[in-house]
Amino acid sequence: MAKVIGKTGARENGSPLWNLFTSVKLAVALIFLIALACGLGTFIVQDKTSQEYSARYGEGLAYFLQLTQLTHVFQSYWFTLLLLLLCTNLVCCTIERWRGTLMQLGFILTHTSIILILAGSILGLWFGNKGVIWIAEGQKVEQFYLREGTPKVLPFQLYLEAFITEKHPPKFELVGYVKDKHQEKLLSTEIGKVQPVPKSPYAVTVKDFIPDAALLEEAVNTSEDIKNPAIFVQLYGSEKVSVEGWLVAKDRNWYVDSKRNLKLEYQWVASMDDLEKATSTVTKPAQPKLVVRLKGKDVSREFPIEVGKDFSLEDYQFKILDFTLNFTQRGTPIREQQPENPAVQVELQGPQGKEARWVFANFPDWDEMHPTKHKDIKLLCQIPQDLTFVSQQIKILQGPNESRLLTYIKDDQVVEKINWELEKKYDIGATGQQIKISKFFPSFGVKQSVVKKSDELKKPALLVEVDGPKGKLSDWVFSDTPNATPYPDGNFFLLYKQFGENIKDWKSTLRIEEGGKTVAKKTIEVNDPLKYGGYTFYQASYDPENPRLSGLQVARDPGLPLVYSGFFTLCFGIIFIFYIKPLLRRRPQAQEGE
Amino acid sequence: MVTINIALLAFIIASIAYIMKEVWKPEILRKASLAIFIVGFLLNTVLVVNRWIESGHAPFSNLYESLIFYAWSVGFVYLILEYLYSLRIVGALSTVMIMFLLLYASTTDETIRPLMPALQSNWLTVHVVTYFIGYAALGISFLTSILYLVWHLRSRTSLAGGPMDFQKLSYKIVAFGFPFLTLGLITGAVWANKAWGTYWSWDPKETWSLITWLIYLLYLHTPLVLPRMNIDKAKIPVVQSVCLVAAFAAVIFTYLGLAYLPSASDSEHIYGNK
Ligand code: HEM
Repeated sequence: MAKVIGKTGARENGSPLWNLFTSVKLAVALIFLIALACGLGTFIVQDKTSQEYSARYGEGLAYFLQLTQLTHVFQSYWFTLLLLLLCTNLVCCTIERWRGTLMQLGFILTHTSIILILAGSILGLWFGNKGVIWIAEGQKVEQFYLREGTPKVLPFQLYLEAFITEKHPPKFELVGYVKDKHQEKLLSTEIGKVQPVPKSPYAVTVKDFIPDAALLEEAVNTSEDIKNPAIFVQLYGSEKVSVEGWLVAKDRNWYVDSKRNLKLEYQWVASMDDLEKATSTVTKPAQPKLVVRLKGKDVSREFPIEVGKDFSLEDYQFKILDFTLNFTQRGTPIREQQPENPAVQVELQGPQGKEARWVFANFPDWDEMHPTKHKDIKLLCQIPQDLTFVSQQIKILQGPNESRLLTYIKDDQVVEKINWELEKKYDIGATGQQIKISKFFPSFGVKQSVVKKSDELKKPALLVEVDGPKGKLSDWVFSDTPNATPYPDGNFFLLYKQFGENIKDWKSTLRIEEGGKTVAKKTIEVNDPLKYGGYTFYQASYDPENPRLSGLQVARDPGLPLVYSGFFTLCFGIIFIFYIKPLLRRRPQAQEGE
Repeated sequence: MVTINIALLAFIIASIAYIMKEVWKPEILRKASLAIFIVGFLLNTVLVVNRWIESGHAPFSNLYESLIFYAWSVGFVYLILEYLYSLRIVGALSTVMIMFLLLYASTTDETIRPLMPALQSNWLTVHVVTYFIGYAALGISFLTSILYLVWHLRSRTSLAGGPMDFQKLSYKIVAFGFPFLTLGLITGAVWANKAWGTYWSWDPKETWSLITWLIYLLYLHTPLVLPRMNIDKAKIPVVQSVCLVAAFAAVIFTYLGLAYLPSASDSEHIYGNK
């Protein structure tokens, strides 16, 4: 090393600039600065919008970062300058120290390699381009889109003949979650293995496994005492049963059939008197309501929702323009709409002008998120639980001592009363339809059983026993339910679910046509692209929504050969320096070359 | 699970034997400690191979797999270096490092998950294997630098009286590992080009591998620069050792720390960043 120092120090014609660019000190400084810049480029998030920077770092710092291009370090002028300085430094150093001996081979190769790689990448940056193509099976494209979205014409036609996605067989995992510790533990699904959940009082044992399970529910009578009365009702169209099901007095005791314009209701009454009362009074079904609140004034009024009606409150006029039970089904007759997303459209006229507003029953704060002209008016849409738009009703009443009554109500008028009996058919007015009550359970209950549908791994279920502070408990957990199964103490949950990337591989069969002739054809997949005419087509992505659509990446990089030769020289140079040279050095005759 | 525990046990005994050997220096312990180490290493090999067979792909796809493979690499490189340079007390430290890695692995999620398509490539295998061999050597050079610094601070002399010059040894070990690091970097770029059509995209993982590489490059140039600077000659090995300790911190950060970066969510390949 001393030899080198003497040599450089004694250089006569060394201008200060040349001395600077041949010094290893500069190299070390530059390498250090480049490393530092790279570090900054990862600690400061890159290539975001001005707003995001302001939000993340505050106005002042964001401004500074943008001014110094620290928001896109790797494309900045100063980073490019550092690389250029390094290149110059390398060239000068290598020329200065060139002696042409074998021992210097590694030194020359490694240093040249960096120049090759940088030159190649600059070439690629200037003359190459990269972009994407979304192409559907059977389609043809003649251009692709650069990152910024500008189209770029291809010198040939590209066809996608076929697109295949291969899937892994699904895999499932059982996860235990301890709530107070926020701790998740992956559990083995091996049958019979007792698995204590670490640092918790729970232990889990998988008892049974069904690859494709379904949950069957069966109605049973649990006792002859009147605990949970229920009836099984059948509606007949002609001779055949068209609808049937259970009505449970204390639970789901009504059924609305909008197609038949009919509502069924089942009531259990405590005595004969109540039976009389229940049949003589016809309660009008509850109506949807619009609640108008004037904020700040403590005024609140309810109005029935009837399309076309108008009304006023203080300085405001309102008109109901439209009403729907399901916003996405607007336009279909209201009787056929499912009450999933009820909404009312209201026209408001007030000091601030006129506007129309949709008010959603399920999203009462919609207007806060989508501010309107009349900020001081709050509108609410209230939908009664059993809202129906049917004009016929059958009330099935039952009480102790075989007292049974069936009333048929049409347009809020009692038309008919019958003392019903089990297993008998009764006409429903003049509709040509009939009703039969075929079963009565004094104590209705549901028995659940899990059955195997097939041997294929489709919707697996596990019978899991959890041992914990509340004792042992067995339950089935299903892979197709998004909800976790809780242990009775509410602190431990089990979830059985599918995991992992399901897609194994995607393959696109591409064909390139030039002047009407097929010039290239290949089935590409990730890691195996198609190359033609300086362009390379990579399998990049797929559209989970549309299985026919293949996402390709296109690249044309004329700098690539330079970069790759740089890679090769770098590898070989480094191997030479650290593995070959020490071997040569051991031989005495090679010593002179140094 | 059983294999990993037996392997750990073997490494514990080996490290005790290594230390006893340094203190009492009976010849038999030298052979015995190495033999026990080799038993642990073979068990670690079983762990890796078994995993490879079970999962059906090269076992580097998650943190658990990469940790057991890193532990294996440290053992592998240690044996080579032991053969080349006879590392002595470094053996005890390497064993501790392997134990630490295996213990860490045993706390992570070891479920086998399917590989995403981009990872199904032979380039990946070459890339990861070269990287881990490199990382293993650099890890051992970290240990020797620590030894140098501890010993230097205790004796307050630079070279005299020391049983062996750990700074020179560190340089040799880096010289062994750096080519692997370079190969790892380059095969990574080639693989990225094969899979995505870009050999370099300034992804945080890529950037940090480059930073690591640059730091070791700096270290390799220190013998050319430091003697010409105005510093006490005796301080040069200290500066170099400190440089190596810092450099290994960059390795660890590249390997495990990137999930803590603010830009981590933009990255494609960071462990623990599902
Ligand atoms: C690509 C990575 C690089 C490697 C692996 C590398 C490696 C080396 C090695 C091993 C030597 C010692 C040569 C010998 O003793 O035969 C050396 C010397 C040197 N390197 Fe680098 N270097 C690299 C990059 C750079 C860069 C980017 C510069 C800056 C311009 C640089 C500047 C120098 C200088 C000036 C010498 C002194 C040569 C001499 O004393 O004969 N190197 N390099």
